[in-house]
Amino acid sequence: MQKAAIIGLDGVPYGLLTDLADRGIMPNTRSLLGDGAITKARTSMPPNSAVSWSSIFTARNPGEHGIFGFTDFLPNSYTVSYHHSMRLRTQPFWQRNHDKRTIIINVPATYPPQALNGVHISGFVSPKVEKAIYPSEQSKWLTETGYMVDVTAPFSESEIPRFIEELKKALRKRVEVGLKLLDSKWDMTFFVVTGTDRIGHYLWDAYENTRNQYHDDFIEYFRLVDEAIGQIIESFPENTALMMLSDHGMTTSGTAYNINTLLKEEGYLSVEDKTESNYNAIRANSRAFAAETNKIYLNTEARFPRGSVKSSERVDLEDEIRDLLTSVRIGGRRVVKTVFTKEEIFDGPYSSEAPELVALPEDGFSFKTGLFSKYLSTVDRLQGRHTEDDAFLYLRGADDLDEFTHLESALLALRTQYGGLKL
Amino acid sequence: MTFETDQTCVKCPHAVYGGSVLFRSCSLSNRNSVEDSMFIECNKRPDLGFFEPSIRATECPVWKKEVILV
Repeated sequence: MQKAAIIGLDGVPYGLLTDLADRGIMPNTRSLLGDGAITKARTSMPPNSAVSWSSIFTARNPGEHGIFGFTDFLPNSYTVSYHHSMRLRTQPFWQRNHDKRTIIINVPATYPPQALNGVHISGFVSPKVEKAIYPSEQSKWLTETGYMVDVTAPFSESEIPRFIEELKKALRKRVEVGLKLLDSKWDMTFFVVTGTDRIGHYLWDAYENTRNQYHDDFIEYFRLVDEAIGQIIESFPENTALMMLSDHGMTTSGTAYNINTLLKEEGYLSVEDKTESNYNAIRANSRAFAAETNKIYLNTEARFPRGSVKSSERVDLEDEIRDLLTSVRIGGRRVVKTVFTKEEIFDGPYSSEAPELVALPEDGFSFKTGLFSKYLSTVDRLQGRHTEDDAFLYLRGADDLDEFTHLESALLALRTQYGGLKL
Repeated sequence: MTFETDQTCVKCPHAVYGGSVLFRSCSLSNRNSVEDSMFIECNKRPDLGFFEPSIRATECPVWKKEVILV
């Protein structure tokens, strides 16, 4: 019986993967690329792992699966709530294919893992390893393996060596656990490496700049990722339908621009002094605010307890804010590439829960959304930020992937090689 | 003493610490910085999932039904 496998590399852009494959740093990947098709792929909006992976594993638009970021707001509240798999409004593919035993390892935005035919170790954000596995009877085993859901972020330059060692250890443990689980019966598997995203956020300059002191470490990490890909694939039967993909791309963070500072300066947002309760500091006369990097919410009467925007004012206000954002220049350069309304990018019954606007930065810029900062722009301590137009999608045995250049259709591409997949 | 009305989940005995994250870099964290987000679960409201511990006692549906002794 044919099997199907998906290998995910979180935050790896098409350009980086093909570059490192071409240069022989990722020889297993190079070999794969010679045996199938690869394409640049666009992400769902905003380009956020929770949104993108949810679109990939449901094959649906965010308006249908209902996930618009790692964070949202509790109903009629400014209290931020965090992603939880029970918020997903449509089934992931493994729930639509219960007849197939599925092994899932480290797919982001799937915590807590739900019952399925197989084993599921959820990825970021899974607060505790012991609660990150279904069936829970395997919790003790998983904990004893030393498995790590994720690495701890570096808070200073001096922590970078520790961060790099943790990335390697987390990868090694993930592969060990993966190979152990794949040694049992399975029909479909979905294995994701997330260290690729973390190293991009903190050490992107080390990829692009050969004089960066961590350049060799960056390259070495991807060499290890390629080894991991080789080990995992070697455990598959030869006729396994194999897809590899990333959830978004990565580029230089550049100058960090705070959208909320702009909204405050232009009179759209007013906040109390900083409190421990963040968005509860938004005053009643506020018209709009930004959250989680790219998302802009109107402070509507319908949605928020101190909302001031009537539904009849919405469209004009969206136009005003879009004009404001696209007019911003620093040193003569545009900061905001584009601003979408939710009608332009979301389609489905849950679109009404989306932020009203989603903004994307120009090259050389990234966004921040801290409510209390006085600064419009700062040098970002993060070196890499997500991109929406250069994720990758690879399918072994395919001639081309021209029909599947949006990640929401990745599973449709897999189905061309694995006909039994129900979506 | 009672759970004071101006206090938030931070002081509530029903709050279970979940972790801290830096969402801009998709990273877990084990300490608080300016950009960290701490999240909790509520023992009394598991349906809420994870959230920022910022619900004031006066806004809390659990607190309204009982006096929480700490």
